[in-house]
Amino acid sequence: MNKILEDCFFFYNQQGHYLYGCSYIPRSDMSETGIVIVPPVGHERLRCYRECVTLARELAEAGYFVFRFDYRGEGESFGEFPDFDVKTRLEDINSALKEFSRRFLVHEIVLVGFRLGALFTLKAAKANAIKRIILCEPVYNVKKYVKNCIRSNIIAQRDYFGKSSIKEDVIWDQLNKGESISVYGFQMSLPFLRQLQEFDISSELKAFHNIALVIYFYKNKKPAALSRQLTEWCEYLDENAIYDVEPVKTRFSWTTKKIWTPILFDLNNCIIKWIKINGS
Amino acid sequence: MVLELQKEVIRVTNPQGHILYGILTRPHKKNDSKQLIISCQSGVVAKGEIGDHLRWVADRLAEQGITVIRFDQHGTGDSQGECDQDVPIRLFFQKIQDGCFKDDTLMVIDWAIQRFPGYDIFFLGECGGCISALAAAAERIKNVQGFILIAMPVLRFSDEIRGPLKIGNHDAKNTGKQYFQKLINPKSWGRLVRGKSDLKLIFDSIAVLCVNSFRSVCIKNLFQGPFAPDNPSFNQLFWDNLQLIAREKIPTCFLLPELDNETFEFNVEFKQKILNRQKKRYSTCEVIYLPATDHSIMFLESRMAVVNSILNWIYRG
Repeated sequence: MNKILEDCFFFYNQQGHYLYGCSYIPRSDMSETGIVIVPPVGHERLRCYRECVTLARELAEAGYFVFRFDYRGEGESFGEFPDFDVKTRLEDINSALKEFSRRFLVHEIVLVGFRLGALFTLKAAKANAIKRIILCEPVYNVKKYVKNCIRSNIIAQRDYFGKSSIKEDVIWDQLNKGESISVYGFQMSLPFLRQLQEFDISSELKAFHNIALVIYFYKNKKPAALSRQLTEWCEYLDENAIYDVEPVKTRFSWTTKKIWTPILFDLNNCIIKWIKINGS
Repeated sequence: MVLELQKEVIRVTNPQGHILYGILTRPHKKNDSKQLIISCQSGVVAKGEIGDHLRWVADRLAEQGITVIRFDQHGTGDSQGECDQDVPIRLFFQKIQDGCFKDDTLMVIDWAIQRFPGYDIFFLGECGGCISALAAAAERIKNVQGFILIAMPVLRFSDEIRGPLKIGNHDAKNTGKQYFQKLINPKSWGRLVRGKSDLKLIFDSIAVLCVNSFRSVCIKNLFQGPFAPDNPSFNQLFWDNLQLIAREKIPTCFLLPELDNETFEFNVEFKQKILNRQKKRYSTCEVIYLPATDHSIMFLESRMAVVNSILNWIYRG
């Protein structure tokens, strides 16, 4: 018999839009802590899709109630990508939290956010008085992230259509005209990219008053010191939060998928261990 | 006016007892054409595929009255079970090309036959999903009205990492085109002289284009071999199932992205050597090229081309 019960379903937000969610329920040793996984956006969400499913299962096997969901405009949820932005994604996290609370009676919820989802987690934690969060491979610099999105479109146009002369300002012109651009197959629009650029990470980090785990990946040799960006993050967190930083060795990559890594054992163990040690 | 679609999560159990999760997208009752498409993703992503384009395609088809089932094979997306761990993606893809998702697909067909009696059932496969669809449908061939196969890989993935002369045809064309554009600009000569240009890539690309052009012309005009694939990498599973399709005269549409490296292999190893030489035998096979479309169907125009091609093909004649 499986150690957990799981199911996937649609649930509805206040506007009547459907969201796709999956729940994972332990059959024994049930903890009073629940976990909501906040996914990355676009190609990164897809890139770690299976990894998040296996994380959810391992967390449930460890006794936690777990919930995953797709933002509107992505995956199996309502709508198209260009019609939704950062604000709607924050609303979707709230909808997921409500749905989770409606389904399961837990004392505490831990948010586990990946990449951009880690940034949204910071905001959602404040809005929902969540005490413990896990930020996995967070996007440290949103402006650079947006720039990379634009660059990826340029590279795709160059690689597929041979358009070698296309420049960033041309792409911004297209966006300003209300067109969307393909970023690894996801049609990104101006409101989404602008809201990302305006996302003030330092304020969010300073405003976080609770407990956090920041996880970063490395491939071969463990870095001797934290990266400059992560050090900066720690300085902001230092002001009000209690936090840990954990390196995780993995062959997983956010870029080209060269290795099939459906289960990130070290990541899953790191998260489970931290939640247990820092129990409420 | 677009009539509202109905979506439902479906759960199908495979022979190993793993639950496979899928999405059923149904047209509005007033608009139901009693046609059903079972969509098989490549196997390396999830039921929506890259950019969620299979979800987008399913929604557009359902707006036109077609019911669509998409699902995650075991070990992928939301489904239960595991396939492999920490293996190079090309080895995993080889397993897909050898039909590792056949049984999952078979269970979904059986589920669909039971749930939708009287519906015309078509298969939509993408990349590795084409093999999963063909291998499974071959066992229920009497229930299948047709196949739509996008970016069908006719050759098995190589065991080795791509060598220098294994640059894809489209990549080589593009590299050549870009460097040609650059070299007519005097400023670019500076980079070349300073050794900043990737000369190896340029010469390898030229070599690939020359070899491939020669290969294509020779096969087109001189090839007199047997009416069977002669490339040792040709996917035997695809070939065996194709014989069945030909025998049963099942309509099959190959949708080939114009900007896809695999399209060249399809043309040379299959279309020129087999399809074109045995038109009568493969009279139910049709090849449609998707203009300005890449392998992953990343651009909106390409997705529209996919939907239009599918609808035109299903409603042909």
